[in-house]
Order: sequence, then structure tokens, then C-alpha cells
Amino acid sequence: MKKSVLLMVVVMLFTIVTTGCGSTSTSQEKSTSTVQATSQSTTEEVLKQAEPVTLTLSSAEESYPKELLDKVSKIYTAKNPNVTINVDTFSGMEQVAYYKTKLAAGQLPDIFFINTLDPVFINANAIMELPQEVIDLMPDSKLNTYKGKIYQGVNNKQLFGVFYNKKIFADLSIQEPKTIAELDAASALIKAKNITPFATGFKDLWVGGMFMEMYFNTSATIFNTPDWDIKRLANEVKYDSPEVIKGYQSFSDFNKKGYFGKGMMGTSYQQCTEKFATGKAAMYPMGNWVIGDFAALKPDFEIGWFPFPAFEGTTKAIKGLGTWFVISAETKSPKEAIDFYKWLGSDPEAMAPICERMSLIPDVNNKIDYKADPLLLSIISKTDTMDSVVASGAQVGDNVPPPGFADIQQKIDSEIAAGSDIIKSVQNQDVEYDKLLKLKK
Amino acid sequence: MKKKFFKKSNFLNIFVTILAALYAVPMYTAVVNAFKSYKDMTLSPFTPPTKIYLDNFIEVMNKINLFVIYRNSLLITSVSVVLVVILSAMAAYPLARYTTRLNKFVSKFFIVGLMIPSGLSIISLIKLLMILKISGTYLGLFLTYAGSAWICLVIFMYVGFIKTVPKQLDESAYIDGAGYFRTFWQIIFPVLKPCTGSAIIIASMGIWNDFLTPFILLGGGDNAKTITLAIYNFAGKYTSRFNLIFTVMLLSATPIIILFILMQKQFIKGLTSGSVKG
Amino acid sequence: MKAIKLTNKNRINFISLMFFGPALLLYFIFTIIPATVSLLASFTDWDGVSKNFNIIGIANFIEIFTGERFINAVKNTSLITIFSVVFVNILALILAILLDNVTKGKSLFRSIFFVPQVLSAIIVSYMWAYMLNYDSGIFNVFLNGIGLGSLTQDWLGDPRFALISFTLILIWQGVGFYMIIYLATLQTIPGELIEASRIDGAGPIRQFKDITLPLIAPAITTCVILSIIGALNVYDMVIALTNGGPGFSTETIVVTMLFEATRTSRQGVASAEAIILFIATMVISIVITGYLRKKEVDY
Repeated sequence: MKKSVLLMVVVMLFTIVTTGCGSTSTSQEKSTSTVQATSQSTTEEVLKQAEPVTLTLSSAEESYPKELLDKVSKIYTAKNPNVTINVDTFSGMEQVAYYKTKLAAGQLPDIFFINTLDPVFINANAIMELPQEVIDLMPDSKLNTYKGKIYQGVNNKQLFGVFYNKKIFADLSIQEPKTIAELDAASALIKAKNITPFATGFKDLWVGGMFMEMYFNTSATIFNTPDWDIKRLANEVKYDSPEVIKGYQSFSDFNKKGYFGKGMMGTSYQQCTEKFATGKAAMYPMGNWVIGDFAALKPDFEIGWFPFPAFEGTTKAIKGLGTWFVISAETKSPKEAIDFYKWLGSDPEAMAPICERMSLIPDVNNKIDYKADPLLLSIISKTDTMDSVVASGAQVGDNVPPPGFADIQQKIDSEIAAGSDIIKSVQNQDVEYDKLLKLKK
Repeated sequence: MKKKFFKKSNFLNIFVTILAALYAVPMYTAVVNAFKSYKDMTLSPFTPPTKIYLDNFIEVMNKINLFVIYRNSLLITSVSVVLVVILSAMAAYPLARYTTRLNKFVSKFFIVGLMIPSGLSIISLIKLLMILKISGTYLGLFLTYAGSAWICLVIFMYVGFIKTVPKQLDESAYIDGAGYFRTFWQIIFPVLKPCTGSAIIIASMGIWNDFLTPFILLGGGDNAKTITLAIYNFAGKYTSRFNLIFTVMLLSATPIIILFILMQKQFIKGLTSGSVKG
Repeated sequence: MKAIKLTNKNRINFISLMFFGPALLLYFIFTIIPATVSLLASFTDWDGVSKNFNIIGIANFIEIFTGERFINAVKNTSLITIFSVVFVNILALILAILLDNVTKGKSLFRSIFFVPQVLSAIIVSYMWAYMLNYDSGIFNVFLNGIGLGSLTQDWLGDPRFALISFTLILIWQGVGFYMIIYLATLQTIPGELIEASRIDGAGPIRQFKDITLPLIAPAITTCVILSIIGALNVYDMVIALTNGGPGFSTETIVVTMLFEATRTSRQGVASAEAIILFIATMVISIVITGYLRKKEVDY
């Protein structure tokens, strides 16, 4: 009798296993949106090769929400009915780690978004070089050169600065601060009213990291040495230097004075945005893309913006190069992938909804007409008249710091935020940088 | 005399009750807030819900394909656990019964597996699965679990337990003319039920809650296949909506808790004899 | 295979092989081979992905021992291990003794203490992150409520407290498991022995030292070893609760190992760190097992 039980178990296992074999990771789950085109064919499409092609489009939910990518994909597949686009977004994991894992498993999506293209992808020959037709449409991609080749497009401009609650400022008669000293005074006034002066956090390391970068940028490093990052790669400057320490010290002092709120270390990006939009924090150091998130939170006050102040003299605008998606070299449909990529990154039909939702500033040859948030427009007009520098964390191509360093830097930032000995921290930062620099082939 | 005895045990009961209540506070918080709306939760996080608010569950079910993900986790866990238990029980039998040089070596070989740091072999494992062409498949996952440190642990448990089963049981079966396999599966294995119970619970817990292996092998994100991956993704998306997060957690933990409650007695019996005398 | 003569060595070996063959094969393919490859990588500068690499001897080992990062991770891991192993086992034993003598609700209590073990790391982390939140977490709210507001801290965000908070949460999760093992073992102690010693006039402490402790010594050995191995390998909980932060104050060995493997693409360094951990785990296990077994025998 027991033997038959054993037999049953084996049979059951066998059936389960073979069913399991069938359902591989590309099975149809409700969360994978399969966008099929249903429109009638035009003469153009009749002429097109009617070979059905499937492309995977992937991004962190935080970078480009699924809703948006689905919407844009639908527009494309309506015009190209032979193409099916599977949108795949993820949350809770750091971008680079996520895609590196996919790389190791040989499961890179056809087209995916990654903020800074880690050289490991390029060295593994996993990313397709962008053809000239694409570069022509996104000319600033030429700035994103890695060893003479272009792998990632650049199609938008970024602006970093401080959003602020106009109502709180008005109530306390605070003017937009032009120097760090004025920022300090303003924060003290705000704190006295039991409002958290700054919304920032280190649960998502990059949020606090970005804020610290602004101090770094302003503390005479970038302002006096505009190509500091490039010089660091050539070992001509060090983190352990008075200019850098000045900026870090200022950040640390602000934190000690309680300007960042106490639970700061565990506050995430989403929570920071909420804190600011609901009036619990008066200022929010962030990039232009966050404007798209404010609307959903329905702030009951007008939002203003000022560029991050300087220690002395006139401040400059801190800009960044907005990197775009990349194409996997292993894609089974390179022609279609390039075509979609081109369209996604520069065609007004794609860029208009994307720029509108994500509050991007397009930087392509085509004219993109979209409903830009008035706040975004005011920022653009403000900074158009200012001198600018490239944000330290927004370097691209050959100028990126050694792979993995950005994370270490952000961790050291959080260490400084938590009150470490700044001298020791910057020395450590140099050690780690040099360690990784050795590998940057 | 009787009265005194009564008082002492009452005091102990109350003390332990208080201890248990304090211990359960985090879980209480999670359960209670799963039934509250976001507003209610932020206003009064620690009071029981005034009305049972099921919208969280509906919202979660709309956002995640809960049933499919449950089915996946169930499938992965049950098949892997069955494989682990069968293979380990079989392997433990000779290791417990015959202490030859070969067997001693093999025992040690298995024990070593327990000490291998987790995450060491992840990258190489993926490469191996790619070579075997089972990367990204459920089969790859089953085999990975069946060949993982779990069998090291379960073999260890079984060896200890089998040693407490009197050898006469085997011997009388052999004398009656039964072959080795028959003896093991029909005579010995049923006697190992308590140990099997413990092994099933421990392995199920571990595999159900495992994050790294399914993530690497099946991928995560919105296409998360297992419930643990799905929670991770969900929590990353809705970092501040704790009431929703708690709802998902409740849904995830309940099956395993039920399993434990059902198999409690077996579990404990299995842990006492042998496995502990290791 | 109707073998009756079990004394034939070859036959025994053959039978043994048949039984543990499948497990051994799978174990070899899916654990031993990948582990060996990864360990070998420690002598290279492989990035984990591409096909080329260079053999660089022990450069990785030198780096991790002279750098701050790994040493810091070792320090954190050691603190977590020592603290949690000691307290988990002591608390588990105490709880087991209490529960052994409880008259009602034993099953319920058992379940309550065990449930945390059943929850995955991310669930435990979110529950505690919620409770320890500086502004709205129950812990600080409670302290404020009873007038001890000055003691409120950012329990997970302040480098002075993060490691301790983490360790305590780890203990909270782990106690139930070992409690059940101890409880089960306690229940195998024959009641007559306890009765006999009580009649002899021994107080509870004497009873424990002379009767209970020796009889549960094997369980203690197993639990200690298991909890050591578990503590040395903490990863999921660290990532979910603090991600190694603030700064590097809760970074453990496995955390930095996987950081090097996935973020800086330095599989060689990651493997080197793994080898160190592996050797340390083996040495510690062998030493402690030897010591505890000796004590068992003494009893």
C-alpha cells in the first residue's frame, strides 16, 4: 500500500514539474501588460514587414511609472501593429543592482532605463552602440561618450535646486536666500515655528546624497573648479581638501541644528515628497522631475524655487544631463528596437506625454510641444539667465566616477549626516575612490 | 498546600501572558492596521479598528495578482520541500546506520554545506543554470533548492532521528527478505514522521520566505513570481502606505502560520528526539 | 537485492551510495561547484559577468584586510553574533522553562513566541520600522506618553543605536525557534527525577544545575551552533531594515560581500570576503562544538 503512495507522489511530482517547465518567466501574469495593436493598417504598414515582434521595455517605477510607459507604448503599437511591447517596472531595488543581476542571468530587457550606465555592461558587450540616426536626433548624446563610443542617449536637461513653500516663507517674511548664511538664518526662523526646514532623507540614499552634492557643488569646488570630477579621475584633486570639507561641514552643521528633522535617516523619496507637499517641511532640495509628483498630492500652497545658494558671490545654476534608456545588444529584434528607441526618445508623440508627466526639459532636435507645469517654466526662465555648472553626480560617459563609487559616496554622505568625523570620512572617501579607480579600465 | 500551589501557577500564568502580549505588539500593530484606512492609521495607529475596513484587501488584490502569486509560491515551496525531504531522508539512512569511512566522509561533506556563506555562489549559480539551459525556469529553482544547504540541514536532522530508531526494525525486515529500498520506505520512513514534520515546517518556512534565490533565478519587479518578491516590490512602490503593506504581509504570512499551527505537535516531537542530540 | 549479510563492506558502500547518491549529486552540482568557482574567483579580478579576468594572486585578500570596510563589517558581524547568540539562547531557555510550568494556554503562548520566526525578513523589518519610527512609532510615542520624551531617539537612524536596535530585533525574531527546541527537550526530562530531587530538598536552582542542565546540554550545543551560523550570515534583515546604514554602522560581512559582487562588480573581492567568512564559520563551529561536547561528556 505504501508503495502506491510513493508512486502517486512521484507521478504528482512529475506532472507538477512538467507543468512548471512550461510556465517559464515569460508567462502571462496580470501585471505584465501586453499591449496589442488593433488599429487598421495604413498603406505604410502594408509595406512594412508584417513579422510580429515583441520588445521588453523596462524601468524602475520611480524613474518612469508603468502607467506612463504603457500609455506611450500604446501610441507606438497603434502605428506599428506588428510590434508588441511588454512593459516591466520594478520597485524596492536599486536600479544598477537590478539590471546587473539580469545581465548575469542573461535576461536583459530589450530597452531599459538606467541612470548611469555602469561600465560592466559595456565591458560585457551587453549594450548596443547607438546608430548615427539616433544620435542625430539627440545630439547631446555626444557628451555621453564612453571610450569614443556612444551607448546611451541624452535627451533632456536637468536642473537641481530647492523647491520651497511660498506660504511659509511669506508668513515668516523670508526672502529667497542668496547665500548659505541667509539659508541658515531662514532655516532657523522656520525651525522656531516647529516646521521642519528641509525635506530630505537617506532611506533612498540618493535623495540625501543629492542634497549633499549641492553643498559639495557650492562649496567652491565646482564653482571654482568646474571640472572637479574630471580632475578627480586624473587624481589632481582629492576629497580630503579644504573646499570639499567646507561644504560637508556646512551640511553637517545644518543637521546638527536640527534643520533636517530627526527621523531623516529612514525617510524615503516618496515620504520626502509627501512631507514637502503637505506642508510639513518648508524646503525640498530636488531635481526638476519631482514637479510631476506634486500635482497628485494637491498642495494647498504655491510652490517656489530658488537655486542652491553659494557661500559667497553670485550663485550658479546646477544642471545635469538627462540620460535616456539603452538598448540591449542581445535583443532579438535590433531593427525594431532601434526604431522604437528613436521614437521613444525624440518623437513629439512620445516625448510630449513623457515630459508632461515627468516634468522633463526636452533636449532634442524635434520641437516638443507639451503642457509644461508653470513652475517648471519659471525655473527654466530663472536659470536661463544664470551661469551654470554640471552637477557632480550628473556626469556621464567617460566622466563618471568609478563603478560602484556613487553608492559608497552616498553611504559616506549618510555617515556624515549621522555626525561622523568629517576628516576621517573624506579620507575614507579618497581611499575607496582610489581603490575602485584602479579597476576603471 | 493545594491553595499555595494554585497561587504560584496563577502568578506564572499571568506573568507569561503579559510577556506574550508585549512580545506580540509588533504583530498586533501589523494586523490591526491592515484593517484601517490610511487616514485612520495615521490618526490612531495602535487602537483596534473601529470598523472592519476591507478596502485595503480589495486595493491590494487589484494591484497584485494575488492568487497567481500564491499559487506560484505554493508550487515552488511544496515541490522543493518534497524533493528536499525525500532526498534527505534517503541520504540520511545509510549515514545514520553504517559508519564506514565513506559515510563519515560524506556526512562531513554535507555538514560543510551549512557553513558556506549565503550569497557566495549566486553569480556562479546563474552561470551554471544558463549552461544547463534551465535558467529562469521553475525546474531550475526546484533543482537548486534540492541541491542546496537545505538538504544539509535536513540530513543532519534525519541522521540524529534515525539513530534513535532501533536497528532491530531494519534487521527484522531484512530477515523477512525485504530489499533495502522497501525496508526504508515502508518500514523506517513512517517511523520518521515527527522528524519529517519538523523538516517540512523548517524547510517550508525558509523556502516560502526566501528572497535572494527566487529573485536571481526568476527575476523580480512587477513580474514578481513569489509572494516574498511581490511584497518587496510592493513595499518599494508604496513606501508610506503602511496599511497596505501590512495587508500584503498578512496575506503572505497566514498560510505558513496555519501550516505551523496544524503541524505543531509533529514539529515538536520531531525536534526532541535525535535531531537535537545530533 | 536480497542481502542478508550486512558485513560485506563493499556491499554496504554500494547500498549507501544508492541512497545518498541523488542528494549528493544535486548537492555537488548546485552547491559545491558554484561555491568552488566563486572561491577560486577570489584570486582574480573577475567582475562576475564578462568572459575575461586576470589572476591577481592574493591582492584581494590584502585589500580587504588593510582597508576599513571589511574590518568594520567584521566588527559589526562579531558584535551581532556574540550578543544575539548569548541572549537568544538565554532568553529561549528562560521562556522554555516558564512555558514548561505554565498550566494554561501553553499552545497559544508557544505559537505567539514562534510566529516571528515564521515571518520573512522584510515583514519583520517593516513591522519594526513602523514601530521605531521617530515621529509616529509606538516606542517613542510611549516614551513621550509616560514623560520620558527626552529618551526618544531615531532608533534605526542614529549610528549609536542602529546596531543595537538591529540586534534586538534579530533576537526578537529568533527566540521562538530555540525556545521550542528547549521546551521540547525539557519535556523529555522524566518527571520522577525532578520529584526525587525536590524530595531531597533541592531548591529550583540546584535542580536546574544538577538535573536539567546536563540533560539539555546536547540541545544547547545544537542551538548555539545554529544560532552562530545564522548570526554570522545575516543579510536579508540588514538590507530590509537599514541597508547597512546609517553610513556603514550596520554593515555585516555578507552585506559588504554582496555589495562588492553586485555594485562595484568586484566578484574577486566578494569571494575573498566569503572565504574568510567560511573559514571563520568552520573554525568557530569546530571549536565551540568541541568545547560544548566536552561539557556534555563531563555531565
